[in-house]
Amino acid sequence: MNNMSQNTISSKHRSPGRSVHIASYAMLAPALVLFAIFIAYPLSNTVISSLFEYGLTSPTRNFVGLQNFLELFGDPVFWVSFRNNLIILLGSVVFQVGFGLVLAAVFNRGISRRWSTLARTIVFAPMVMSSVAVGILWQLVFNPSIGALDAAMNFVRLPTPMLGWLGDPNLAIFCILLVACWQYTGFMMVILLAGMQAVPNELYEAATLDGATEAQVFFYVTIPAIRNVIIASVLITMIGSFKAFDLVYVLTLGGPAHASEVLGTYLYKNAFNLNRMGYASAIAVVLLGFTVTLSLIQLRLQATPTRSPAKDVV
Amino acid sequence: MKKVLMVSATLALATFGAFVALAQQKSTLTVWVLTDIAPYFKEVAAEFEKANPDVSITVRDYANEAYKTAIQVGVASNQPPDVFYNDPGEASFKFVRDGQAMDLTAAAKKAGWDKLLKGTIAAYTLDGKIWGMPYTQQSKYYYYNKEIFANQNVKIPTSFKGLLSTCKSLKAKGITPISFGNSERWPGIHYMTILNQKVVGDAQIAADYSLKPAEDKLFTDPAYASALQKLKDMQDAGCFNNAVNSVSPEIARATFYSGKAAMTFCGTWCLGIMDSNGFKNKYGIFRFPRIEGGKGNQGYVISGPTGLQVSAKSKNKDAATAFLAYFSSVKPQARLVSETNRIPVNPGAVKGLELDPALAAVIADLGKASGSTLWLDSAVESGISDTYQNVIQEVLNGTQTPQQAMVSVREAALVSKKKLGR
Repeated sequence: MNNMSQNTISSKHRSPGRSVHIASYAMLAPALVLFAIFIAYPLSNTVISSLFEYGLTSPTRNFVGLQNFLELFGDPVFWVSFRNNLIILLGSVVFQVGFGLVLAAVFNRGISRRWSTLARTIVFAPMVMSSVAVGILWQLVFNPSIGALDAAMNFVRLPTPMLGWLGDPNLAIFCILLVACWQYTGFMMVILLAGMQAVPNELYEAATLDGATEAQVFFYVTIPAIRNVIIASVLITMIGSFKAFDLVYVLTLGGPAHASEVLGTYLYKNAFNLNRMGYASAIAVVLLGFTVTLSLIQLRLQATPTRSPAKDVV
Repeated sequence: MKKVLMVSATLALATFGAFVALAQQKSTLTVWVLTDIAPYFKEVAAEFEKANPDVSITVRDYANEAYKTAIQVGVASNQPPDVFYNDPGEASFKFVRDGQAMDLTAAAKKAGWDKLLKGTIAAYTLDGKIWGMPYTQQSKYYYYNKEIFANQNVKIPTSFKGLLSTCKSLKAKGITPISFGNSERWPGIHYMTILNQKVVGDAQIAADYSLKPAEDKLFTDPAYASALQKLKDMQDAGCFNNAVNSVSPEIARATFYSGKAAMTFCGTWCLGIMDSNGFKNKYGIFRFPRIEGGKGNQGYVISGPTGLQVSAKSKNKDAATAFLAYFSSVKPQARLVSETNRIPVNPGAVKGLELDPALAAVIADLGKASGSTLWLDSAVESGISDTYQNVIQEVLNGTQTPQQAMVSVREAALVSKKKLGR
């Protein structure tokens, strides 16, 4: 790593001419062109569209300025969707990253290699399934007449919701959260475990020699050592929460009556069911604002130097 | 030598040009349809190609929900499908307003579509012009389990009160009277289609659905809330399974054909589904019963066609209308009945065919109906339909009263009225 960067620097010193610049731009060009076509152009187009009122198939569009945004901030369904996104965000960070961390710690040092591979595969398995399949599967689990969950609840004589798990406006979003956690905790575990396995063994040996307990080792060696990995996991989860669409769409379609709506599904409904592309674009712009803000926060956090002796391992 | 070369080169170019011209004469039609009926479309397209060697047809298909998105993107693009499936009413009229659909009035006259099943062309008619060709008629009936009805000594209810008491007696015996799954919202609005027609009355719903009344008169008839209350009455009488908003329509159907519910309210598209799940001949059908004191004509049924539209941007309009004309003729329509168990719009198609008994019963009953009402979600603008579907869920969940629900519907109607400038 160090050798390579030194080489680059010294070669730059030898020929500081323009040819290097041209060559590097030439090499960047394909990526830049793709970025322009698939990210910059649609992005600017969305921002412009958010200032108009029109349907997807309309021949013309009316300029309405910031009217879409004003309407959006006064729209109760937007706030319900926003609240639901926050529920998914907080729940996912706590449960997916939290459980993922615990599981990773157990698999890293807790149990023998043989069992760890099998258990890891089981925990990771939901991640490789398509979200639509996962949604349909859980829809059956939640079903009030033939579902496994109601059967289990009846077996232990616990009450089941009268309106159904997914039909109850107060429960639906939490059921979606549960499924999301089931699906993605394994993914978080794998990322965190990879980080943990890069922590040098000497640190653990030194800590053990100093008389640290397993819990102390976890909190004072492992966690600081994988700080950046945790930040990255949290960010992936947060951005993923704002982009939530597939599970909600398959499980509840945002219902009953918008109770489990998220920004993604509300955007889709406005664009394709309600014929309001401008309004949908305004939602997309707001959504973009949230994710960009989150990314900036993450970059800031990762740039902060850590005091951990193991910071270079990741 | 030079001259010879020049001449031969010119000749070669000319022949090549002729070839190109010939190749261009063959027109290619793109047809977009739903996946479940695509095999039938492909067969009919192949027949049409055989009779018209200068036309080649490409059939592309999408699943139900994906289609709603795909067709809008497709129609708005520079290369829209020439012919595409679309629901009647608002779904089609939206494309008409946006200038994306071709006026088929002349083609209709030429092909004699006025002889098609009554009301089917009307569902694609806006401002006196025809914008789509129906190819099948759909309706919605109660399907009942013959064995349960015989064992429990239950008769087919002929009135709404009778339906409620049937529910009560079946429920008392521990049988789910009607399986109902409203998680996808459209089954609920299908109920309101017929309840509004029977309770509110035909003239009133025709006016409100088309947004004609003045702003202070729009959706103000208290009968709309009474119609919603009827749905609630059914729920209170124990007609439905628990937690209707968390059950999908597929599960509701499966509950019926596995014999775990006595009835279900299902579209004519369910006939094939019941039969393919081993329930053939084990069920009978009856129409939604009359409602005592309702202001609508009690002899009406729900019905609506599905059909095809032609893109206004199509470069092969002649081939497209020729294809539609062929599609509505007797032979492909008879094939529709025998292969897909659907109701044809060409009355000549069922002559001499041996029909599935349930399909025959539906066709006979539709013939006896004094009129029909179009699906509520097709009849009103998408914003109103969306709100209606939400408030039906709220009423069934008990989170809104029918009166509160109608306030929201009226608000949505006012927004739509302003938007469409009516």
